[in-house]
Amino acid sequence: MKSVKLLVVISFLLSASLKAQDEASLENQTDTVLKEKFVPQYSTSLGVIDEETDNQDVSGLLQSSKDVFTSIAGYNLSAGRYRVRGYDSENFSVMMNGISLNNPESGRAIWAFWGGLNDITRYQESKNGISSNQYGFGAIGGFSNIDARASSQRKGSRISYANSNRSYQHRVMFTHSTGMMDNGLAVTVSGSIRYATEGYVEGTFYRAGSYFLSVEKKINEKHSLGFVGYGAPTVQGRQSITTQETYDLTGNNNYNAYWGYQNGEKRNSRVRNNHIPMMMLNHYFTINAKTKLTTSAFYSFGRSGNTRLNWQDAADPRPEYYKNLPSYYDNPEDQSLFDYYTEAWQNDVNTQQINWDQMYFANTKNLHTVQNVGGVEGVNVTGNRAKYIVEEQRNDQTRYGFNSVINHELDEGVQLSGGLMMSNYKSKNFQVVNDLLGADYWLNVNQLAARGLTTTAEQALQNDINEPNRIIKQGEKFGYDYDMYINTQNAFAQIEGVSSKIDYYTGVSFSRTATWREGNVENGLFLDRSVGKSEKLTFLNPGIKGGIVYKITGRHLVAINGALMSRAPVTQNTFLSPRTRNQVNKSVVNETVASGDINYMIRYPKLKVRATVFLTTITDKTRVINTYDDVLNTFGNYIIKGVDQRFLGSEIGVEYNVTSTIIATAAFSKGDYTYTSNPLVDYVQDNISSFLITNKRVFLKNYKVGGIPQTAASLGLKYNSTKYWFVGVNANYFVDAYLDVSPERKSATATATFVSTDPQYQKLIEQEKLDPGFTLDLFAGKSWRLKNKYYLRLNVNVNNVLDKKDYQTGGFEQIRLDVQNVDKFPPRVGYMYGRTYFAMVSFNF
Amino acid sequence: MKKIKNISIVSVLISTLVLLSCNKDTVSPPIKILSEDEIITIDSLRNMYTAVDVLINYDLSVYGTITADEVSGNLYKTLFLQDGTNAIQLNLTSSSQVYEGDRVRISLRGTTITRDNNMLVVDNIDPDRQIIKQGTNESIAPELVSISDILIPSGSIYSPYQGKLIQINDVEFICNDIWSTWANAITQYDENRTLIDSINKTVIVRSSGYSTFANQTLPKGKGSIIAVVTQYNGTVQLAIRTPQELTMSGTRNNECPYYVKNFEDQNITSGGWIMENIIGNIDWTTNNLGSNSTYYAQITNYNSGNTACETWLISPEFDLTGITNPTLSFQSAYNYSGDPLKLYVTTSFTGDVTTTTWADMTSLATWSGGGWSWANSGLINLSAYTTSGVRFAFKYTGSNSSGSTWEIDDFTIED
Repeated sequence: MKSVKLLVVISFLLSASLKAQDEASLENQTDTVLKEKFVPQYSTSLGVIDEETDNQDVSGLLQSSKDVFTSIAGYNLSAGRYRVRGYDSENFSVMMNGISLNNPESGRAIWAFWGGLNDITRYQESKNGISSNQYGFGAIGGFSNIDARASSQRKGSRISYANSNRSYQHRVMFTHSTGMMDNGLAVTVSGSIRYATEGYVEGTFYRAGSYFLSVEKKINEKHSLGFVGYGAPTVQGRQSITTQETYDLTGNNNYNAYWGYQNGEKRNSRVRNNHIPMMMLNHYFTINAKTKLTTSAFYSFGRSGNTRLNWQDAADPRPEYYKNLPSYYDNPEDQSLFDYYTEAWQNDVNTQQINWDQMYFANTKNLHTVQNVGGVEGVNVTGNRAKYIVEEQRNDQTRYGFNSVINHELDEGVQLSGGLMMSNYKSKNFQVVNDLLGADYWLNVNQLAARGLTTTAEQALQNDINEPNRIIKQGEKFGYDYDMYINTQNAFAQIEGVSSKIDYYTGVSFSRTATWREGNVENGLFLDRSVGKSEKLTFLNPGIKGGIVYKITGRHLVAINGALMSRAPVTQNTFLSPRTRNQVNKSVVNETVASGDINYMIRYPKLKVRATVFLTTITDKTRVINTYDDVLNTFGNYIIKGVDQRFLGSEIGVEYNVTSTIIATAAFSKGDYTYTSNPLVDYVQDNISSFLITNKRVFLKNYKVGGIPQTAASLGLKYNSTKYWFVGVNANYFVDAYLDVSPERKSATATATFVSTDPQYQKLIEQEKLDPGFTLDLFAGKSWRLKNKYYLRLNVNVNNVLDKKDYQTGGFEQIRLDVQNVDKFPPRVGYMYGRTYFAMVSFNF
Repeated sequence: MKKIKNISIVSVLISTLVLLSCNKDTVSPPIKILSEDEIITIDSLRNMYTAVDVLINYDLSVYGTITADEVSGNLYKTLFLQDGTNAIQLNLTSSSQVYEGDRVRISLRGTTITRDNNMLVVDNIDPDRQIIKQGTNESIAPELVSISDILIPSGSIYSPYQGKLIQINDVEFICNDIWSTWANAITQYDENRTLIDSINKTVIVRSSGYSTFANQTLPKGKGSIIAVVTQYNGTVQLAIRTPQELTMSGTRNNECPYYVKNFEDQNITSGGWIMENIIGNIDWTTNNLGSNSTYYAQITNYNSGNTACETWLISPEFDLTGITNPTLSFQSAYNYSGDPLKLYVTTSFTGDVTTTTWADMTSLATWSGGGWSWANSGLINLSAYTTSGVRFAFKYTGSNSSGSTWEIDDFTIED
């Protein structure tokens, strides 16, 4: 009896410590958020608009998967930007209490919206790859369903403090769960504060809170009603991804171009400010012993914003802008400017970083009279007109919907699931003056409208012709203002069966997505097309999946899964230039996703193995890259149509208990993630309705999908002492990572002047392969049991112990190309962090 | 054992699949592959020209190295290309970002081989589209030749080195030129300067008035020059890339005067000359009016009436120590009645003409007889001044009622 008790305690501690480790690595995942989404950008001046979806993705959630490969790969390889099977995060479905948390606009689940609620989100059901799913159809990458029911939370309280040098320095978290009380009520509250004056990367501050409330009332044996509400207000300074030149000049591979000194204080120009609270009501109805019905309604709303510099009639203030770099002046005719910029970059922080004081100075020396303000004749305003501002680009969302899922046990071991979901989503997209930087006002005209005028020049300049020449003060909207609507209805059905020899499942799904834009301002360039509702685009998307497990013996299993589905294009890609007009992308079509895998699994108490071969094709993808062209001084969209990708690869995960105290783990994945089509490109600019490029062939076929290591391996060893402490080490290896290619470089227009032997041709068509990376991680922890009922735990993770800072984790070739000098716009690359740590002490009571 | 077999079967399966999937070549954008007969040497290219312009309207490429570029401004929309066989001038449709030492391929379709005053050139090259860099910093060494080598042989119309980068050793500029600048930086006219070797063979060095070195004076000694060989009708002309490549500081074969100020740079005060207005503000200027078209210094107090003035033009300081028989000579001319121009000398210039003790040498010189006729001063003996700190000065005086116009040129101190 005593020994049984001891065993229970040990296993509890063990699982707790594993959990703790999970959590640390989850934190690590959010830490890698920083980097811009690795999307090619046209350049340079105002930068890319489409970066909301940084890597705030979901793969972190998969780290707590029970799958032997996924759990190892998830938490050891994420620092190297490893992505399971090479998939983008839109291929992973994240749910809470069965409600999808993937953002309808980007398709991705954004981790930051529930960041800091680790005590809750760690309780989740995860499956990797194509799988059965009782909550919905799922996605090819896998799904996670966070169980936020109050009755599911472990009774008790937990308080923890964590210290780290990653994105935040301090975190305090508290959670209390009542468990199901005698009155049929269960309540869980949780909250946290995360804070850093500066994270690992210079200029990245972090201020975040989070709150969570879950209440469940058991009405009777059949009915339970639950409420969940949470939110995570987060304000965070961001990190840039720039060209190698900036890293060389500063001697810092984590150089961040986004900050600068203002009155001696570091200030970041790119601040993410999110707060999207979510509320849901769940009704759990146990109809009978075999049937249960779960019905939920949800509402989520809030603000999501990113700040950036904007300027009118002034020089580009960003230090990493190519004309602010020495290389732009590297000219045999005259090296003086090159030397000047090199010297300044190396020794003057105001050249190396943003010079806020200079912008303030410029703004207070620009007295200007605006005539006919608001279009009223004779109303003139004189004051310092802003040359520079900090603007915030907002993407404020509201989403509501409901779903209803029925699970019925048809027969012994045969489960039927089906459900209906609907979701109505609206995002309000607009620009706000966040800081006038000492000026009196900003003028709401389109400085970029000079080209491609379709109306009279005076009108064409106006962002809003109904209030021309408007004076904008701090906090006021300007520029574009439009709403995006996405309404989705979905039905799914699934049958799954379990038997001693064969398990199987099959499921079908059907979705309808309707999307449209509604403009709120009448742009002077597109009088009839900018305001009001656009054409409504409707997409119908069926899906089918199935899988079978054959148990050779209880310890040797073979599983085969397959799925075929169509998917509506990401809304961002369905409008040619949503910032200015309602024009739809006529050529956009549904994507088709086909995926299959074959798995071999071994399950012994001491040995667990999974080996998998998978093949996935994603075809007819449309991708829109937002661009800024500083030659033509205008924003634009580079639309790539008919992108096909193939993900072929294998995964092997092994977990082996060497002794009762030593566990060895190994994960290896080799992939071949390639483009398999030569898409067509259209290019359209915000200020011109006609296409600048139409149906230009780009030769992407057989290039590798970039920005991720296609081969990765991790070896780990962990020692669990019977004295309630553990220590472990992981060695991780990343290889076969490539820069993402620019389609523009792989086009006939790029190569037209060259012959096969010209070095330019080789430079244009080659794909840069990144050097392999190696990291060593250490982790350790100890638990104390106090007064037989409290637990005190300490655990520490140190990542990249060897402090290797020269591993490029990814990057992309710029779309911008100068055919006369193909090296003029070099790729933008990012580097892995050096040594980081995460230490946490927690107390359960 | 069976389990192990199972595992190995799976891993073989996996690795086979993975290996199969890799290493495919990318399908590239359409690209021209040059065949052998679409590549031509510079020598063959030159030989394509017989008597009329040749328009190349088919795919043809020439490879070579740029030997002279547009950096110094001595060449404009022009480059020189050389390979192992020969060299040729390239005329561009716009300025280029192509530099000396760049190895390039030139796509010749659309260009014309033409002869410009006996200089063979490839004309109408768009540098942005037709000059494709293959490498950089691969400079070709100049070929060492003599002046005789590059001159046009009898019976030929081309210099055998036309377009090539050459080096000539042991040459110097003629005395007449060494006080001059490379070209006229003010009018931006090209200028010819003459190079002479030890056997008195000469060749012209022609430089652009737009070049960055146009206003620099020529090197005065003997040494080596690096240039490309150009031709204007029957005249061979050298074009230098930069004066920094000239090392002409050796002892000359032909000695030149100790000092010459010829005002060809149109600058009164260059070389340390000082002008002082004691009365009024009438200045010396440069001019080249008259049948003698070289520049000279000129002063007049007449401008719709005479103005009272006293203006001094003071030479730089000379150290005549050790010179056995120094002499001074100059040219003068004048017109209109007025006070004569005076010539003074001092060995103790204070920086202020009024406090300096001057010796009047006016009477030692022969002066113009007026009517703009130029007179040589004759050799003025300076034996009394073989010391340091020697300065000469011309004093011009005019009144409110009269004043001559005086002109001075070729102020020369000889041994």
